[in-house]
Amino acid sequence: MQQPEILGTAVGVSETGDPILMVYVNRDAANAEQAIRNLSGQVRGAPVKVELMDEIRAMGNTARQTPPISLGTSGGWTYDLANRYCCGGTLGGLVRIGAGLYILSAGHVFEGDTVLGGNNRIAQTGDPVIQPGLIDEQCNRYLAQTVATLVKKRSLATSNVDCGIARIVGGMVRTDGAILGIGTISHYISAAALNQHVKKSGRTSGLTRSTVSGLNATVRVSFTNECHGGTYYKTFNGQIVVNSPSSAFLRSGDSGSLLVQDVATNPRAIGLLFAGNTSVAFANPIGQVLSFLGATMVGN
Amino acid sequence: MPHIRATVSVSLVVLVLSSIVVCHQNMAQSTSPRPNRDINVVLAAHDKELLAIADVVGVYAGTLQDSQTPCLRVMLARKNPESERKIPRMIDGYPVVIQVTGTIRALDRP
Repeated sequence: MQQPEILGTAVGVSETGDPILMVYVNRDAANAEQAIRNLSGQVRGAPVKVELMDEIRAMGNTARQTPPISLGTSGGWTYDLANRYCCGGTLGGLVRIGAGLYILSAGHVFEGDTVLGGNNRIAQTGDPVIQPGLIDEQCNRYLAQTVATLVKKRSLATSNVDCGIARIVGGMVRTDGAILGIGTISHYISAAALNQHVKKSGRTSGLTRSTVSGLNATVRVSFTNECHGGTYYKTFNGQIVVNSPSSAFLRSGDSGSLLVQDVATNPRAIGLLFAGNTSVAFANPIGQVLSFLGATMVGN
Repeated sequence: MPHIRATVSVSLVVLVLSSIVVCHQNMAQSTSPRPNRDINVVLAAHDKELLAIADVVGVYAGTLQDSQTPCLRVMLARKNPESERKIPRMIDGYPVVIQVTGTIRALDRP
């Protein structure tokens, strides 16, 4: 850590489950290659793994915005408070259905409360969707602003995707669908490809970049039936896998982020991020999401 | 002539051993043929049986560390030697890589 090229260290887990020392090196540092060569292969018996990464900046898109808001920001269901906790995620992108414009997020972010349970509520069509989410306003919905109203789709119960939508309130959301740190996107979409460079903008980790490391994943994902409620599992197939070592690409609170091509202008949407662990992140293919909703992406 | 008989015997042993090695190589090749089906077809044919193994939380089509060679990746919620023994190292010509990734969960609560 005395070398300026090294941004940080962490204890990680190898593919075989053994502890390793992760060393994060600034990819843009002039002496990055020399710094990597200087690193020992092992520290006190633990193998060392080097990860190149962008310089560490303040993360997260949690601030309340002045409307009309950009997407890739903190948000969620206004009543997402139960069992003494509040929850939320990311308002990912903007889609069009007929003449209406809708915020796209994960289904479990907008309508994940499916039992009366700890708050005597179930998410309903017409409920407010707020920015930022309760988690960024001390669980007090009156400190947030209503930007859209929920249109319940029950994707988790009825399909192979985890998506939710909310109809925008006039004047509260940018109608060009711009995303924080990314800008406007294309209205065309793209299928994922192995080793493809991708990025996303999310509530917790902000703008992050990675690569597609797998396709056609069948995954068993753990959900809760309300904020900090009971656990259930759902298996998805055909999912996109994105590298996320030590959760560097996607963290808790980033659910609902739009996965897009890592190009400078008008990237195409590729997937809707909704789950992960400390190694990889998962996205529904955006084509499946739009097909389920009967929607198109808003973009140039 | 005992010396000659011994030489012949040694030659026979070498011949037999060589045959066994060749045989073994042929068998090894026959158990790991070059893939002749698309990896996604292979994945679809085997994902359910892999997910039925304890602690397996996901399977997908990925690549080896060279980022080029196609392989099947199997994700485990935790290190489980018994499950790892049950997972084949090769399926229909594709190498199988086991990763301990932890549980996969929805990411809505910081």
